Amino acid sequence: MKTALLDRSNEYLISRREYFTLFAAIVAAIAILFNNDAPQIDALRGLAVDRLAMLQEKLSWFARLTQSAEEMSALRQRATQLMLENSQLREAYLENFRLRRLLEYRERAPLQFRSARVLFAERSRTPNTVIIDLGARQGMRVNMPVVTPEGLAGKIYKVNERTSLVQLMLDRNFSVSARSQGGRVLGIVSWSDTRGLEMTGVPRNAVIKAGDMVVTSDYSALYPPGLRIGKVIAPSLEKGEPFMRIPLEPAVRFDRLEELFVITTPAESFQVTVADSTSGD
Amino acid sequence: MAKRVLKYLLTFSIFLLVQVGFVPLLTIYEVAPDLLVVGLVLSAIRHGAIAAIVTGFLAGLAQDAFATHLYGLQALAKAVAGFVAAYLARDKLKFGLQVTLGITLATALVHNLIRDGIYYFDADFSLLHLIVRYVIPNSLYTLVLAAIAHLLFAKSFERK
Repeated sequence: MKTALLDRSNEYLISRREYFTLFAAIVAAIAILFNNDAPQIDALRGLAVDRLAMLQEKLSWFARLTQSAEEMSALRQRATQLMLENSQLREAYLENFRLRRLLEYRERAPLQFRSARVLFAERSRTPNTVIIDLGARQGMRVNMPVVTPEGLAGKIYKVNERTSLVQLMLDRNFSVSARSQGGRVLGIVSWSDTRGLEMTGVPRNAVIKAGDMVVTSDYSALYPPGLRIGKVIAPSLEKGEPFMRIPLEPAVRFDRLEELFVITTPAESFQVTVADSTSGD
Repeated sequence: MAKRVLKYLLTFSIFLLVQVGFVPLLTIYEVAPDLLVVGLVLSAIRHGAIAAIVTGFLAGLAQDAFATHLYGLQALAKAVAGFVAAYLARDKLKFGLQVTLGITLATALVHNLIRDGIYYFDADFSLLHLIVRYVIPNSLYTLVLAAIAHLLFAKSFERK
């Protein structure tokens, strides 16, 4: 019985060996082809991801029913809203002292955002990205900030028709102008493959201690101020170096990204002065 | 057996060298024949589908190393072309000029549609323009090459 079944499966495999060979050749060729960084392949990849996203969207209705995804999404949205409000309130509180003295008031528009589901993660690639289910059709644009309830996650890197690539803060080419929430020490936060998330360009004499929260600064051209980036682990002073390197513990749990929020408020409405921007972001 | 494989590899190496070194000189308004497609038809007729697919894949990879900046493109197009050629030739016993040219034309059309379709994927023109401007002319040019090859080496286009 077992032998007959084995014989039949062998027979089946042998009779269709051309198709298996063709399939293997196509898979290998596509794998090689998709490793190119040419614009045609980017466009193809975008199309493929769009189609996959559509398919996934159609198939996911059942899962959504069982998991009360909408309810979860609404709660997460609310949590993000509260986080953003909280950040802004804290910022407003701290700013109040300075602004009172300077008598310069600046009204900030409330931040608008859209929730997005993470479809795929391409962590091994450069840039370190995830793909979300919002694209040009939903009004996504390159450089829009992407957050989670915990804080800043990254920014939109590339926009397809129905999907977008989000460059995560864990990408080595990502940098953001930042400051400590308490001491108002300014610096640049970026990712180092060897040292992890760190704040650089901080003067030696700056007052900053472990546990301080680092947030986006007012000088960023892309990100609203006050978004949590990470917590100071332990500032390190190296001999002869004029600046400190401050390792940070990321506020966002990047290993658990399922839902993200894209801030759709135009960057101009939360910029202080673009000309004052000190970082590349 | 080893001698046959060696001869086969040598033949395709010559095809590849001619394709890379000489065929570009025959290009007219970005239209060029593909000698390797003719070679694939020959391989499909003589040795069957698996030989044609594997040869197409490997010859395509080798051609990619010389010709395009999209590594893997020719490998994909030629592996599929090898299968198409073998599929069309599978029940034929005699390979006269008309049959050979028919198989070559269909194979070249599929090959060029895949290759040019991906190569010009982000270009600002329609599928119809792609077919009329690149796919059909390239295929017809390859057909001319196949006709010459068949007239010169008619005996090679026979099933082994």
